[in-house]
Amino acid sequence: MGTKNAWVKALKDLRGSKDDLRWGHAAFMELANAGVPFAVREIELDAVAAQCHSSGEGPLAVYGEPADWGRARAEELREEGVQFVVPPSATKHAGLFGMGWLAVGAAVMMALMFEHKLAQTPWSVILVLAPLFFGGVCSLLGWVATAFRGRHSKLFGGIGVVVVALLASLLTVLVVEHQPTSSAGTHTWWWAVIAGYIVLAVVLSWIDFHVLDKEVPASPVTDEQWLAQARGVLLTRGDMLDAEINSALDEAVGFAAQSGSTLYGEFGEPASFSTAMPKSRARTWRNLCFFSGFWAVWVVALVLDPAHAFTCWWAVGLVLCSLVCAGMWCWSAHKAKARRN
Amino acid sequence: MNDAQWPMPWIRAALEPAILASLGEAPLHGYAIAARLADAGMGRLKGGSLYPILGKLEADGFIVATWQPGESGPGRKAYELTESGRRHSAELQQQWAALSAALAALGKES
Repeated sequence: MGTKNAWVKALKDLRGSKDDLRWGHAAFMELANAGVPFAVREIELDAVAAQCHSSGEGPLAVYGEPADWGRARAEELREEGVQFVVPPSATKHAGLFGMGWLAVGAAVMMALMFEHKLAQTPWSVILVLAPLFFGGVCSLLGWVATAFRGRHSKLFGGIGVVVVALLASLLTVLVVEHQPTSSAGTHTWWWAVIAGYIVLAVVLSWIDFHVLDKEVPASPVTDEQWLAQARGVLLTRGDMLDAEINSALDEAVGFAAQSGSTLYGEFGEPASFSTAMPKSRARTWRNLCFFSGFWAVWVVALVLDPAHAFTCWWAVGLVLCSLVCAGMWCWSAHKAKARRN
Repeated sequence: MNDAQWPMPWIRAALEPAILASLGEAPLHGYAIAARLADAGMGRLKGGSLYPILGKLEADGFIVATWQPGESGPGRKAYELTESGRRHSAELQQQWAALSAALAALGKES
């Protein structure tokens, strides 16, 4: 997304400061979320780089915070009659980005484990596919929780997460107990698997950069569509409490109702609305525990005994992480309720 | 923002002190702040411009938001100045006054 463009080079060369480059990326993404077309974003950032070059100061000193500048500039561009486009889908980007990093992680994990355990372990399909399966279960758990949370049903969301975790554990037990193994797992084969994961990561990143960036002219949406999209974007962020999301959307609805305007007219693109919402530390920490917990369990399982302990560790890990997730979920909801009262 | 009496970049730059000043007398909810600024000649402020600044002021501890459940519609937040917010608002007002004075002095010199 624009990482090889002239403005990046201009900002980089300006003072050799990484902060300037970070400013440029943040401003670029702010404009993208508001729906400013790619070509216009480039022109805007070129102008920023030129201004910084002539003044000898960094963009932060000249223009202030990148989010503030991006938001104000997007509004000016809209008033100037620039045709905006549908912002890049955060869900699709996050999905491909997550899968890409999963593939990179899988390759690294495989390489790390290779010399210690895998080379002496009989070749098995489950070990080769474990990282992807593992990541798939994580994503599925997150998706189930998000989908149910979007419908205001914490009970069903919790049940959904537990059911997915139990099914994944059951599937793991069945596959590992009945997996066909052979002793044909040569060094070449294992390295081929690692190379395969690297190729997968490169392909996913290529799709993310080249296929999803096709721009479609934006058109105003109805209030119902805007609310659904905004809720989806805020949920996908994963760092806001449910109560905070509801409160932000209620506030937006109230404001638009009083002004007699539409939500799109008042707040613009839902993605842009999302960037204006502050983060919740509780939710961020919960997500970190949740996903890093999964990875930790997987690594421990492989290091200890990939052939036998793996099944048990994974099943226990899934259930434990689900319980932790549910516990922190209840705690954060309780905390948000107390704060509102 | 339209129907404003001054150029947009000036108004955008002045939004933070203007919002803080509008809360000086009593707590207000989002739309009432926008209406107050419109009455002052700053144009009709859109929610997409107002709420990021309210969020920033809240994060900085200059204002606090209290949730008020709606009687027939959705609830809304009432924003109130904190003590540090009052001090910050006074400082910003002084700085704007100084800027305005400096500008006026430049005009007289020429």
